[in-house]
Amino acid sequence: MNLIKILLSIVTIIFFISCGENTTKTVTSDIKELNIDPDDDGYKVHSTSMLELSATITYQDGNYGDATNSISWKLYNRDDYNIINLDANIVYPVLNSGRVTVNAIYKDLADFNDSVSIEIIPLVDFYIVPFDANTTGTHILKAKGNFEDGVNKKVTYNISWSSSEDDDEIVFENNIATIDIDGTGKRTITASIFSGTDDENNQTITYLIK
Amino acid sequence: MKKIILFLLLVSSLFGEAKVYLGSNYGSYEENFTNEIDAQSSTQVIGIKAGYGVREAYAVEIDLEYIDTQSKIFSSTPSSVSDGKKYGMNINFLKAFDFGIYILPYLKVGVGAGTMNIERTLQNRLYYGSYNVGSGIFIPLGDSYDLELGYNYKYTTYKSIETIAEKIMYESHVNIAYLGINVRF
Repeated sequence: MNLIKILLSIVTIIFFISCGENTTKTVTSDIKELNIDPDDDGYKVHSTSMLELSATITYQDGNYGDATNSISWKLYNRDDYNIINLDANIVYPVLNSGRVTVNAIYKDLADFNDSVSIEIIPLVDFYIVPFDANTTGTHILKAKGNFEDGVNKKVTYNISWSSSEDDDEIVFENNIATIDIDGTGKRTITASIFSGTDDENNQTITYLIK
Repeated sequence: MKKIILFLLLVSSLFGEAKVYLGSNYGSYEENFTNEIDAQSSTQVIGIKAGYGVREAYAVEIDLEYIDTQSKIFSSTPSSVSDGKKYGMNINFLKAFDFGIYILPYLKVGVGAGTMNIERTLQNRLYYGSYNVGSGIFIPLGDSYDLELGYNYKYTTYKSIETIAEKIMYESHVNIAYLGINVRF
């Protein structure tokens, strides 16, 4: 009988000990919505540039988090991959004009995705920026273009360079093209944009290397 | 080869007198999360266990525990009043000491793992693991039964909470005081 009393007492004590405080408010706020961040230029990209997108996750408590690298970036239509290349969240135009829809989504959850329409601003014309290439050595190759929206800027992508002399080495690294001129004589340097497409355009510049 | 045979002989001699025992227990469960978050959980824990070995030498215990949480630490949906039920399994090595004083004090150490039901947009289950240490006493009740009073401490690490922007891992200190009854075969 005494043992039963002791046991009941212990159980009662345990019960009261376990009636301590309980946290009743979630400590880690849940997600609310996913949004692609606004672009000051209205999601437009010049055809020889790139556009970097970013996304933000909004939590139920009103806080925000950077979701850019945690989500999947996809093109809405498969055919759009003929118009741009999408490397994670970075858009590289392939053609001189077009419009695509980019979709940001988390694990294919329909409730957590956002999409934006991106317009490619066409290049109207371009030219090679003259450089001091009258001597041998390494020189930076640079071209600038005029775009349909009136902007004049450096042509970075969708451009290839060649020299009339096979011995001249042309390197494209970190978005900068350089030519290592080997030997003297006349050189014709050609810049070609959108090679192999209907928008292909070539410009040349000639130097006499002494 | 000789070493292996010698080791097996040693192990078999160690467990030559080994016995199986089964038990159940009821206890208080107090969980305090580490400094990163100010959260705590208090409730009761119910468990069943099976042990094998000579307790005065060494024994191994496997126990299953059930915790009906009353706190709302991880769940976030408006409909969730609290986090869901918690199920765990622990494997502990136990060493009891026979001081000839009728009761048998013991120490135990082990690891555990389990899962807890939660309600979040991206998750409905949260896994955890723990390192366990404990102590207590066996109070013999005749030849086959004994009463057990014990205390367990668990250092618990929860698998990450997914928030898209980051994965957050939480750790906690769990204190369990319990009363149990065991039957030995």
